[in-house]
Amino acid sequence: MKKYLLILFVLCWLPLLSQAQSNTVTGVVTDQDNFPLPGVNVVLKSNPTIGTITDIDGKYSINTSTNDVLVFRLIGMENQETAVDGRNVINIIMQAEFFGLDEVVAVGYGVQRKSDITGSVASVDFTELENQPVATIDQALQGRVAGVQVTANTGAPGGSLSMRIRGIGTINNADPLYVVDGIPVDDINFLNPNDIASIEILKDASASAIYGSRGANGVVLVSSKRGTLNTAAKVSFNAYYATQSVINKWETTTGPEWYGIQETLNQTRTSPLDLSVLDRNQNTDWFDEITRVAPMYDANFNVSGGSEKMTYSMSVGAFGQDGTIKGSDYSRRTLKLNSDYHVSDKFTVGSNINIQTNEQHSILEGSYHTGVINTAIKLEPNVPVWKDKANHVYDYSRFTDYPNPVAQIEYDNSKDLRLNLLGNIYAQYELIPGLTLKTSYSQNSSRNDAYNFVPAYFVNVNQQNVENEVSRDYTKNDYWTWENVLNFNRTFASRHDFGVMIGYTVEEGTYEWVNTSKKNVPNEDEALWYPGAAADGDNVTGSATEVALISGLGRINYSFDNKYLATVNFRMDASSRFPKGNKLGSFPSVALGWKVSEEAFMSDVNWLSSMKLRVGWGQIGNNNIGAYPYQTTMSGNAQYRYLYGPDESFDQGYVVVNMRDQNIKWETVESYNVGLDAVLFDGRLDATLDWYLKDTKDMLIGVPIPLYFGYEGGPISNVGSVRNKGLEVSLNYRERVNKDFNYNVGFNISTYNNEVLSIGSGQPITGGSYYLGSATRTEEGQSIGYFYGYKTDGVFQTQQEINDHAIQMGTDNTGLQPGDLKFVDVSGDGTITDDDRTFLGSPIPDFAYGINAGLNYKGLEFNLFFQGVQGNEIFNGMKTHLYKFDETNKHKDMLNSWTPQNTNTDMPRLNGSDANNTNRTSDRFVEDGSYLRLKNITLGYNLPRTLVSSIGLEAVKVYVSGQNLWTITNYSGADPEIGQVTTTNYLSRGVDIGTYPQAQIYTFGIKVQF
Amino acid sequence: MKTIKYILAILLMPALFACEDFLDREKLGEETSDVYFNSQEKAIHSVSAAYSDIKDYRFCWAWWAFGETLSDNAVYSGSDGDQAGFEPLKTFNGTPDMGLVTNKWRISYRGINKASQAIEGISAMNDALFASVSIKKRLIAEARFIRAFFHYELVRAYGRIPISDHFIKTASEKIGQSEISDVFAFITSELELAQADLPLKSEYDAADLGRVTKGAAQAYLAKSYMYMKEWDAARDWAKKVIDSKEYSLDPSYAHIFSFDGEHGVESIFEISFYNSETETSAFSNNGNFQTLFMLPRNITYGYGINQPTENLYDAFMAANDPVRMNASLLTTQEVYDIELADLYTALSAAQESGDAAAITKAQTDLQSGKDRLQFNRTGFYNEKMYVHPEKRSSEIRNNPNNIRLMRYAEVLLIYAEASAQVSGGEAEARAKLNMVRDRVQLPDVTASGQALLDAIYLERRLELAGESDRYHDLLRLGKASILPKWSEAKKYWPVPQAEIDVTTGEISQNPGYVGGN
Repeated sequence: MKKYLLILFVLCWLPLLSQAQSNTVTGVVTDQDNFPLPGVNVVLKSNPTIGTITDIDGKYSINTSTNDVLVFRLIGMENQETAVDGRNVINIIMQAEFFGLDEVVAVGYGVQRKSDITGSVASVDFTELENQPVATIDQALQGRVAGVQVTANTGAPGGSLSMRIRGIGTINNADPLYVVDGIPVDDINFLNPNDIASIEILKDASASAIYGSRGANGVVLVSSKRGTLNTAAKVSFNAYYATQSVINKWETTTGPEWYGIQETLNQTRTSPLDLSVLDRNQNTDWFDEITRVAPMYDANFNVSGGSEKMTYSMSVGAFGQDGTIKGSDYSRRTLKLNSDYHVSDKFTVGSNINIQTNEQHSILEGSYHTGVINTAIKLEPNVPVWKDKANHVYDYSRFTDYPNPVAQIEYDNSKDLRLNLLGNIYAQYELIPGLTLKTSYSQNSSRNDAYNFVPAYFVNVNQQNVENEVSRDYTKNDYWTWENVLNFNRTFASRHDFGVMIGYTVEEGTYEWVNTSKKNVPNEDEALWYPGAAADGDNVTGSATEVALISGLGRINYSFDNKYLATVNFRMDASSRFPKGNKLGSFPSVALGWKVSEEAFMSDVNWLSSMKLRVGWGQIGNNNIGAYPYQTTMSGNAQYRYLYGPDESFDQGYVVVNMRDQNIKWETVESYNVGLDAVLFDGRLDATLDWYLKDTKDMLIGVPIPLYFGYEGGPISNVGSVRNKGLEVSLNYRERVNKDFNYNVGFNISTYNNEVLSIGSGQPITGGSYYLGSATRTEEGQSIGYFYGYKTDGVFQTQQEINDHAIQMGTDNTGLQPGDLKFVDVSGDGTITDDDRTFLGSPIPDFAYGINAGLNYKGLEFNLFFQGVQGNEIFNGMKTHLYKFDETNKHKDMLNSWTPQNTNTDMPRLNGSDANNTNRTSDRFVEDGSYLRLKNITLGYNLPRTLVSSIGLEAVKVYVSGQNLWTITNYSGADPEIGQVTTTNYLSRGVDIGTYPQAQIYTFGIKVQF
Repeated sequence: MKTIKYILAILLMPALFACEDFLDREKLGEETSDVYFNSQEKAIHSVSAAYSDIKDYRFCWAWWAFGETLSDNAVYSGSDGDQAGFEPLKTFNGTPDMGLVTNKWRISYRGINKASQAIEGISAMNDALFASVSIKKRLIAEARFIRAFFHYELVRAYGRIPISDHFIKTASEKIGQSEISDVFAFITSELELAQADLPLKSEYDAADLGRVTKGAAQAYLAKSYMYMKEWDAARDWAKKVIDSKEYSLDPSYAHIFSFDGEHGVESIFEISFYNSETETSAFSNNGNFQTLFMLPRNITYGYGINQPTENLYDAFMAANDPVRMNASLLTTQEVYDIELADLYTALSAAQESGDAAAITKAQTDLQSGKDRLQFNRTGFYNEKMYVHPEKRSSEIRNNPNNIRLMRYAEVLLIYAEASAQVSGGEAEARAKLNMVRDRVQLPDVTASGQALLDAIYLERRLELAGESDRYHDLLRLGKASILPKWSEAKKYWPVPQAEIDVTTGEISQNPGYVGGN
């Protein structure tokens, strides 16, 4: 017990001033153009919990003492403080504050002034992103923050994204830690973006070390909207409606084109296809058959405000999205309540409650054999969808066993119902001025019900189900966290600012699942899609996992003369996830800052408003290692049964099937960061530069073991290391031309460099499997999951070229003909062998960037947002079908195949008996994945205030926006935004086996404030 | 000072969690291996796990693909893609990355690992945990047999293989390949140990039917010595099986392969399968997946794979052996008769009624029924693996018919061959050979010398047709060169590329597959 826990800490809020006589102050708050500012927070400096808010005419009224100080705050304006000094009327002119250096941002277990931060922390004001019709928070972050790469794994409604902060630090789970209002959660997809106020991203170890063993992949802190004391209820209603369509299509052949190609191939096939079973002129566009124009809507209602003792913010939201692929949709209901109650001057209690339910229908993705999109791309176009539509008889591929995707969608009745509960209560007490104790208990629970019913059906022998089957899979997840933190802040000798935080946390989680299925429901009425209705085959399985974590943590902030800054973070985690002896991990960090602009010698540099240099170092950990991978357990799968006796009844076998390493420990990330924050030209230009180096050590890798060991899997051991480095720049420029017109332009860019330093045994790890093998490889000296295979060099044009070329067939290239594909003898040994496989590209971009621009003219708002990546490659797994000399659908490129008459081409001759293994994994399928995309364009109009108030409203805005309207890319597939094949298939990044494409979305929205 | 109390309370509360237990968690739902072996029941479960890989569909698939389909007895067939996929193996130009090649190696070694776990786990158990010491010994002997059996399957398919004689616990361990003779020496020494502790078939409880017996160990000893051409030993072990009086020839050859004939008087080692409602995945069922492979394509749900050849048909015809031919080869017409029985009935009903339109319709229906049969490349299907429609499982991978791995008839033929190879044994050889022939109403063989041996070899082909022994026989008898494109260098399968890649030099590729692509 001894070691883990501790406490102490102090928080110095603003000094308490002695009470004086009471007094009512009124006034008007305007901007520098004398325009009244509604919504300005006016609070007493002596007690910031007492305050009011300006009305539509900028007027306010507040009770205060004659010697208090008033603080005026409004987002986008510089804070102002004015001593009351006995006055009764105080009119204030607020200055536009360009980049909020005095803003307070969350840094984990506390807040810090932005100007005092020494680590690499990106802050996103979420309210600025709210015109985008995005379903999830991470979608909204795409391209917004340098060093934060968000990639959709699928365009499916409710589908997953992968967020990678500062590159890919591990071949294992590299998802960041998400912390919502102080509660650690696994993902934030379920949150309603409308409820979010701001997001802070802790990018480097000096910032994220406070999260210790979970900070290695960065930390995303989400703060939701809260009410303000002494504020009248603010009621708002936001809604939009959108239509979505598929962004792009695959360039596959038409029926007659396919037929022609097959006729040519038949000339060289040993057993030609009997094409007479198909109609040459039939032309089914399978992709069209499974896609649709789909609607999306969102509606949110929020009330927030506060009395003199209490604040509240409550909202309900409804979101619904049909997918552009039939059979997929997602709908979500959210309910949120945040409240704080000031029991006394010193004692505050409060709570956050989120309740969310969603329902999702999915199509089969992630299968390179029968994925719905995958099959729609590769099925021959000469097969009609229906054999006999009137009698509901589907047609099917004549030559392959790939399923009819339209039938697949029909017979897939799977749906997921999910409930998420996320909440906490806290109490905070100021022990002595400046020293605050906060205790907080959080609960994060989710329940997932997966329903499925597979009817009995018959399309053909390869696509059929003889007995109907009902299944129900149930998972429950409960995680509680108890945090106790002391905060202390004090200034000594007016130049030494100290902030100390000390705390401990206890966390425990349980996860449990039960899967059930039965067969033979007597009739297929939906009312009977429950296990109780089924006759046969009780099939039940289930298990559970528990984890526990105890942590001690602390932070010291020191600032000398507001020029020299230092931050030290420390955390010790003791985790149940590791074996005895390795449970405890220590995670320290140090960062220093220098506010150069505060130096006397800089006082004449007028164009520089502020400048700060930062350096940081830290060590953090990754504990995303799955459930107890060091414990050798006995498995009792149905696979290990054997039958005995005249009645043939089974005995369940138990056996060890995975080799274990009993000594595993944390993956550790050590990172260095050098940064510069500057504000120039009277606050018009804000610039942040960061350089980082991030080494992952002791990376857990499944050690490959020989098959003759007889295990199903090798041990996971701490044998790898990876280095990420990069440069991040973000620039924002704002200009307020006059009272009616202002504009802003922002740009961020980050470079990525990823190198595997070691993978232990040196045995490369393959990934990204598709039907012909593995597309990616991870090995020392290369980036994680790079594309690996043969290089090609066009086609042989003459027999002489074949004779001169390295041996790539048989012993002397006999059998090759002009028009055959030429493979490059990379090793130079005169023969094309496995040794000639080499680096073909990487899914990790050289750099990623975002560009945004906005302008406001009177009531009009116009915003543009571009996002792009450059220098990454995509493995086009679909082309391995579309280029193959087989019966699947073909790419239009095949129409340009080499013939003695058509020699100026890279497409090899059509060869029905291909002994050249033309389709092996090669650079033919590796394409430039760079793109620049107009992610969002919005035109909004704020109705004139006079008009709005005449109908009793405070503000009304209408807008139209377009998402993904325009993309520049060389990628030949439907969409260059290719994430991982599945959420947990980490080495399949950039492999396209029929990825659900993003949608083009047109949105009409309205925002009303009452 | 109330405040102080609250604060102290909060400060002290972590003590509740600080006890070590809070952080000591285990994976739930599974027992850890260090506490597992603590009862006879669990020892039995451990041995069941060792058995389980024998019925794995990938193991059985490779069993017939190597033993039968490589030979002149069968073609791979199935769809064009199926046929083309097997073509490299059929033409003895397989590549080390082929799935069949990898799977046979992978699954066999999984079985070996499981058997070693059982042997070591049970050996370390206190005798008092068992109802009797003989049960403990028996369980170890069963696992030992299984470990030997998988080595036997491996050495027959790959030649030189690593011998795995213990439970491997550390990733750094290395085992190189052994010579074929050393592998067989290991197999026979293990089987000899096993047979000593294994009960006779009749000594087992009925509920244990299907477990390996003393007879099974002795039969595989005989067959192993046959491969090693150690004829005295082969004959001696075969004789022990014969003398045990535990087995006899089933009077009806066809009956052996019927449901009624499962674990019959002639059965020495047999894989049991059943039709389960719950076990439907390819990787977790106890149904016979191989029947799905071999049922006629499209007219049933089968894939029409491993079709017997006309060459085999001719061999039956030449030997004038209708009994075994009818039990082994299912003809196209028989397929129609069985699978389209309703349509034939409809046709005769229509013909009786005399309604011309009805007759035409019934004829059309029958023809379109026949047209459903696709990719029928030889006109024959493996009848020993065929399941009639009324017994057929609706779950395609779950047919309940067993696979016979070792029959008494084969022991007799091994005895005959071994006797014929040793001086003065020809009369004994003929006697046993003719027992097998008598059963199928064939005349006695009177030959001697090479003619007698040739008669035994032919008898093996006809007796064991469709039972995945033919290619092994062609190999050991030096007759594999009759196969088109066969080459001595590639007579075995290559070592899986995955194994070459993952090992660090201790495993080398079989010589015929080194170099080139």
